[in-house]
Amino acid sequence: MTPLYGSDTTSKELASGLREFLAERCGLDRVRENWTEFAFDRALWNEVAALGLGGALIPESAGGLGVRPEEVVLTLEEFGYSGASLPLADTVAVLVPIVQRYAGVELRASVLPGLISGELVGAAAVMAGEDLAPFASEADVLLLEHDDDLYLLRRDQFTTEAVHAPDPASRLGRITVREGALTAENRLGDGALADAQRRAVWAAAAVLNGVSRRMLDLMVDHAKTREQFGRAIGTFQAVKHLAADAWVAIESSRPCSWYAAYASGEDLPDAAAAASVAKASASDAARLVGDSALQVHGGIGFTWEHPLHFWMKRGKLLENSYGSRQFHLRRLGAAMRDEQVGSEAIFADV
Amino acid sequence: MSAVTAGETNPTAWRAEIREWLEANLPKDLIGPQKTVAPSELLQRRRAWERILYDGGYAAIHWPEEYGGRGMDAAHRMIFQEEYERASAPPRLNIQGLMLVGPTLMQHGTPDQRERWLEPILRCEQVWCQGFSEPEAGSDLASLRTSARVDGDRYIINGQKIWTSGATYADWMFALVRTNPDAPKHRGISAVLIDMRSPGIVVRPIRQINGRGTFSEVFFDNVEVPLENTIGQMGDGWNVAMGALLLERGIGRRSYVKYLPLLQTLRRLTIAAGSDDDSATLEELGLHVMQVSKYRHHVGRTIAESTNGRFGPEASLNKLFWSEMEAGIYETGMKLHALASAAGAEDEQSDDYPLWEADYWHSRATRIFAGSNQIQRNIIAERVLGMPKEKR
Repeated sequence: MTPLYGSDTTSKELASGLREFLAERCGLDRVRENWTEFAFDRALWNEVAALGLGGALIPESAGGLGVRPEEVVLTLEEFGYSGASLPLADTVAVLVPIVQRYAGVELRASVLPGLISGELVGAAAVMAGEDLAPFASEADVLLLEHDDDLYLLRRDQFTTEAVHAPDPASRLGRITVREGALTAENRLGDGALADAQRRAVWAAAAVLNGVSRRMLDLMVDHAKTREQFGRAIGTFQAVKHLAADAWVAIESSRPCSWYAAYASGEDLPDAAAAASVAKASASDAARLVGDSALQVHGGIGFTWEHPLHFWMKRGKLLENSYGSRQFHLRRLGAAMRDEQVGSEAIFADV
Repeated sequence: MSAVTAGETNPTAWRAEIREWLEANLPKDLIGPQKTVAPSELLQRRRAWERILYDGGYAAIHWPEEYGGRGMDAAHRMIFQEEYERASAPPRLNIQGLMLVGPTLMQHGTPDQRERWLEPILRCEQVWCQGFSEPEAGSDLASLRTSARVDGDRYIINGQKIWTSGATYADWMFALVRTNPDAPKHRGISAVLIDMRSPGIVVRPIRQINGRGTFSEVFFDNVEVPLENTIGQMGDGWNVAMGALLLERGIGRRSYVKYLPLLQTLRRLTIAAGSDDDSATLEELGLHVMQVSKYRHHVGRTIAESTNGRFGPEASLNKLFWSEMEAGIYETGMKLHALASAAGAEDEQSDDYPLWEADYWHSRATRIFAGSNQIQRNIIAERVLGMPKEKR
């Protein structure tokens, strides 16, 4: 199959569906409210869950939509673009598919329907050595990496404690596992950890690209309307070039998260490298776009009242989670050193 | 030209077909960098290679069948390009003819003009160069001054072009000239085709900072060109050229595969320099892997979103992206060459260094030619992001 990079109907329809829904139900007022209360917006979560996205990536026979991983990439971008503060990406891309694929019959039956319906909130801390997860304090179900294995824990098997992070609306929590909770029964099978990590990484990259798109839109709108020296500041090349570089960074990153999802779904030999490329490029773009957007806004962008900082802060959290730019670039560099350049492990033919 | 093969509908079969054909037909003495061959000898070999491509039916797979091509879409064309680069086949000799002049003639030429020039381009019997830039018309191309005065059924052309690639061996030039000095600057320009053997033309190669002379100055002293060599209407040359420049910046001429040997060189140098466990160096190598991957997926996405051969706005980032990527790869290579040399590993490297250095300087030129990267940013900001135009 020739890679479609999101040009297909399923991708577009899923994405525009969520975009329209969130534009109506989670406009700027709602985002601002979430950034005032910093409480979990369960009402919004229930509404979004009712759209059925939770089971997007699992087969219809298992209660899902049977959509391919790469077909939700644009949808996750729209989620990032909207500014909604919900555990959507990890639920859709990681928790539900991993539980469906790797959990034992009983464990699966006890959590899967709830995760899909939104009744159960899930969190994922799947990167090696990290015990942090967004929405951990709300979580009824937790995917946790420990000593190179992946575990599925229930609410009574762990405790959480709030952690300071750039984006308080994502409610980052530190996880402590209760004694004796990591057992063979809740350990997921071989391959679960690598699979979960790849998924978490490309999904975070897709959300982050959506965050960056929103910051670019805010920047360009401001440059078109803000006047100085008797003309819109977007007339000046110094401002234009900031915007153009931001656009290039975003548009050259977006197809990478699409491909990473595709490679992961197809189990291509370059799936791990593709995930790293996706996340490193999304992190690069977010940092550049955030800085440039703030610069173009000038003083107004530095106020709490202006909405730009919601996306800047979410961007900053995501930039350094699921593996930072440095983490993923070193991984790619090491892969290249180990003679995989031009090999299938980095650039698989499609 | 040739019957539809199985490969034309199935991407995997198409890739296999190209790979096999190149293995069987690409002369071994044309593979990879040509360090020791005399330029005239190399030119002869490359002309012969173009003829082999023509005979195989691969000269211009993207041209419509009615003009001798195979009417292939962008996806098939990119697979061809990837395999061509994977085989380390030489750069296409008649790139201006195949990518610029041919498609422009198809769009704006008369039936007679197509009859006369298209076939010789396909067969590489006439090699073309592009005469746009002038000493006083670089980024501000529309201020070009080379004059074409109408005298009966011909133009009398006087002036100068510069930065012309391949002018020393080209048979024909696709030139922009000023036919009406009194019209507003964009409207007094015409596109004309000039026989490079016309009396009054002098070509002078420019010695570049890397010692090469691939660009030239071309001088015109009362050069006579028939009026029938005008493409499109007289005075409409700006529109004709803008369509041509979009092709020049477009997708399909370059794939990520071209950069894989450069990454291999970086890898080899990293080991020679003893930096293979240095995390900062690994991060830098990773950056280049990321950039090459991004380029691959940018091209793939642009092709996936194209309809009927027309590309979306994302195509605008193509030239800006690859030129910056290339400049970065060569920068890292210069550093690693120096480190390898300091580590005493230069015996192994010394053969390759002069070529790498010349290419390093050339990678600086890529930020300037084909619309400087600052002009590219203006284009993106104004045409893609809709930011207000500045009075220029």
